[in-house]
Amino acid sequence: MARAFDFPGGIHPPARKAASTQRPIAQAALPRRVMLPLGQHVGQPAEPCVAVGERVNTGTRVARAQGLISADVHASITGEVIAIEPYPVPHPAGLNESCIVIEGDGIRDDWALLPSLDWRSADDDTLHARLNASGVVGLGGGGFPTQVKARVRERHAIDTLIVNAAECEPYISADDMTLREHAADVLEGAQLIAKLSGAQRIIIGIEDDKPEAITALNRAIKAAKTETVEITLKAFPPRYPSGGEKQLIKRLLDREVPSRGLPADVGVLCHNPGTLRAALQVVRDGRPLVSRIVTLTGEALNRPGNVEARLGTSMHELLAAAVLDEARLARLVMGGPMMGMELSRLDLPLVKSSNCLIAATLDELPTAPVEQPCIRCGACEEACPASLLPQQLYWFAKSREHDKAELFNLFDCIECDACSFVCPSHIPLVDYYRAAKSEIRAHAFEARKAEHAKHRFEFRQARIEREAAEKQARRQSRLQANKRPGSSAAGPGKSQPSNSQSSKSQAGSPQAATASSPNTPSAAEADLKSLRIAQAAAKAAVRKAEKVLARVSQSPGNKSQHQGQSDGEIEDLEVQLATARENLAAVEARLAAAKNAAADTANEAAQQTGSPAPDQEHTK
Amino acid sequence: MMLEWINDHGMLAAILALAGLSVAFGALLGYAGERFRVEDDPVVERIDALLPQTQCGQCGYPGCKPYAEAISQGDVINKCPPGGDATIAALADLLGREATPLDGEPQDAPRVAYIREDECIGCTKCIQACPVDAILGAAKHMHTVIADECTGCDLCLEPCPVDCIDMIPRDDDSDAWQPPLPAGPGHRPTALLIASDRTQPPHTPRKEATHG
Amino acid sequence: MVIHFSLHGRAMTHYFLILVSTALVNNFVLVQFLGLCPFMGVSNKLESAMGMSLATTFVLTLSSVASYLTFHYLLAPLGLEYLRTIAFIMVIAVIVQFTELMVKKVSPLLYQVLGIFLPLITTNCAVLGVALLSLNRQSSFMEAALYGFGAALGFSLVLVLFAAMRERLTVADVPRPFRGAAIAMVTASLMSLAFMGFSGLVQVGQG
Repeated sequence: MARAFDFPGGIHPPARKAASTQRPIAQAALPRRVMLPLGQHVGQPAEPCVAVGERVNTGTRVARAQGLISADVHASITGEVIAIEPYPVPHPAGLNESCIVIEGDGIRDDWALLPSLDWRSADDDTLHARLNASGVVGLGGGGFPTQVKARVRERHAIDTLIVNAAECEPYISADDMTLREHAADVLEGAQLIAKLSGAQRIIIGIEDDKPEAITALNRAIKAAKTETVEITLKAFPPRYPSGGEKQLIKRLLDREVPSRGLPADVGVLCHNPGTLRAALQVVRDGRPLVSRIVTLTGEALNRPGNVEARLGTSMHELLAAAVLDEARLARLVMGGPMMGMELSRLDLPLVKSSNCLIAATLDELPTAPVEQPCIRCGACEEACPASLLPQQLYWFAKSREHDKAELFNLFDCIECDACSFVCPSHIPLVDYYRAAKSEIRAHAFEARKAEHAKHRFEFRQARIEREAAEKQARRQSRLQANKRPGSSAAGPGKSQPSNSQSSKSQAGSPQAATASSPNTPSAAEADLKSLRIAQAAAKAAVRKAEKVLARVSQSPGNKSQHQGQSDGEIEDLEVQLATARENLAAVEARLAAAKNAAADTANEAAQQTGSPAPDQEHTK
Repeated sequence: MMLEWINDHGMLAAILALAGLSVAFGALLGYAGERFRVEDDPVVERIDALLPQTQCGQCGYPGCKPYAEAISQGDVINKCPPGGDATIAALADLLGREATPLDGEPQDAPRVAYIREDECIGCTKCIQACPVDAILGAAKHMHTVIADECTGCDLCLEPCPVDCIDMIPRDDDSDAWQPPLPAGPGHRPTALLIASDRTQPPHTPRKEATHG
Repeated sequence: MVIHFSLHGRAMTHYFLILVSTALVNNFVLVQFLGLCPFMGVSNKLESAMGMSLATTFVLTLSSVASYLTFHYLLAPLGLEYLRTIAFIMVIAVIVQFTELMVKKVSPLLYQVLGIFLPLITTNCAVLGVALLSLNRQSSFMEAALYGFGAALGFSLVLVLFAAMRERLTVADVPRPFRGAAIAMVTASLMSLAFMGFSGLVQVGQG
């Protein structure tokens, strides 16, 4: 317990958190208008379930989660829905997204609360249902729907819940202030999640440059000592990015999350303190996620600090309340200076993942220097907290050698920007990695699509072949039926259609005759034999396809965003199974036809010793 | 005795020795050729996996698999417009050949077919033409294209007697915005906003009564 | 046919020295400058380089042994030593054909990738060079076999190393005039300089 483990690499950027931690958390003024983007979380965007003109209260659900990885969106003010349209939202390329716009009067705040629950006595299903309706996502900036993470027990055994209070990125102090003022709530939220996930202990990881928060937490832990789950606080010297969940797990527990794996693979669940508080609020108080604590900082603000603001508030309003000096404002960053996103306009809405807004002057965050050629110094490798080789990834990303980049574990990069920070040539390394990851995903998508199209094509070929084989079999059996002496009664009746039939088949029948003529019985038997072999092979193919489909559809997927992919995979396997079945049907049709032909030639041979061919009339 | 004969007929001996050697080796090779004969060609599978599977026939072959077989027998690799330069590069990489430019018109954005339902007469000709069964419908009933399955091969356009099929740009997850690769040495990072000049402050909103 | 198998330590040292000498000290590609055609031609990709080195190892060892046998049991008894060049080339051609068949069976993809360079092993001067040079040294059967194998080892080592470096070179910031074959040649010459460091490591001819 007293041993200190560590993660490799890391950097020590200046913290710059003093400005925003001078004052306690303020309540932002109730906005008159909010814009709620439908996709402010990882996964599928939510679908609106209100109409324009409808009146909503604070906390009314306005958009429903779609699919497995998604979250609800709730109204953050009381008012009327005036539009559901694309508007500019925080996005790296400044793209628009569909938003629900609600306008109120800035005074009324009627809450639509859910019934309050006692999480200690409520059963798990009720709690999961409550989280499903909560709209709570990872508030540390990740935005992953909490209700999905809470179901981790279904697929993994969890023994530890880590409260990620590290907050290692410069400028951001939202978690620090949350812990100073609401430590008890955070701990109770942690216990709630621990109960749901089956964790047997809670560890709070925090950097030791937050003494007030540590004091508050210790007080709260002491107060919560009567609870069953063990709660420990571990403080450590600050280093960026100790708040990365994989790095934190390595530091606190000395466990390494496997490549492209999840913390759940090593029995750990990580949560942000703000998320835990929000989860508790929705369960205990029935409050869906409608607000969050956001750090407003930067030298262009004369009154920096942390505020609890309603989601969808225009950032301009919040910054104005923090006394923004627009003349000195040079750059607006959402998030931190390392992993954050630069914004081009001030009137974007506050979203669930906005943990910080930095209104920076030009001196504070100067323009990025021009990129220069790599000098192969290796400083990036020393800084990487994931033990990757950033220089190699840079070369591979630059030359689009995607398979090499994947071989060098590109997808384990957490995009923390430590490598770009130390690069003496000012190369924006993480931008290269993001571009490469995106290209690889796009190629994989195209490859899957092409493979699926190929299977559909093969199915179509198999279907056409089966239809042709069945048609051939039917025609052959009709021909045989016509040749058989017993069917002479039906002869004149169907002489008309059968003439065209038999004239066509006359051309075919010599061939058919030679194929299955009594002159070459061994050929007919060889045909039958090869058809039987083909049938056995086709049956084996069908069984194999069925097995693969059963295995894949029952195997547990993981909680990543590949849910759509695995659906596509199952559909693809179904197509392959259908193709195998068509092939089998085609072979069986041909086999049946061949058997009939063989049987009939045997009959003919037996009859030819008897009456002279009465079939002559029918083949006119 | 033999050595004497060889000394007397040196040239003949040399020719005989070499001839004997050739015959022996030839026999050995002939036997080896038969014994180690290879029938199948699994390279074709790997080539086929790199082709886009639109089965459009623009390469001159009736489908992607026949073109893959042709490539393995020596045909050029630059005949596939839907695959584009990326496919040519991948094939060049796999086979160790040179990546020649595309022989044909490059296809820009991927497209899918769309049937204008007002004009559709329900003749099923397009359904029969589609190589991946991406058109849903029946005789005298409305036809519609399943956009997710459509590969954009254009084969349905010709058979339609009322010419009611359009090719529209595909709207897919993969067509979502992708972060661009930085421009390289000599440029500032471009991965941020396209229109922003980083020395300028962010735009402030205009003072408007209502939103646009 | 008498083949000397010396089992005591001195002979083993001797064979080991032959291996080290042919693989490193007198490396056929970088010190004796034989076999440069496949060295430059197949070293674009690491996978094809490894395939090529396996094929060449196969050919070199077999041809060294076969040449020895041909010379000592066909040409020498008949006094036809002057025919050794033609005979060796024939032997090598047959072995290369055989190797082609094997490669085609084992890995058709490698066969496609190596393309023309597989039959070109016939004209690889390192192969003929090994046969002739081992003859000049008046090696025994074991020595000839090890000579061929050691040469192949050295060839493979250098080919794989060079291929790995060339892969890195294709994506590096090489100045314009040097791109392509130029920087490859410069790299090869630097490798050659490096291998000169092995000289004096082993004195072949002693014990």
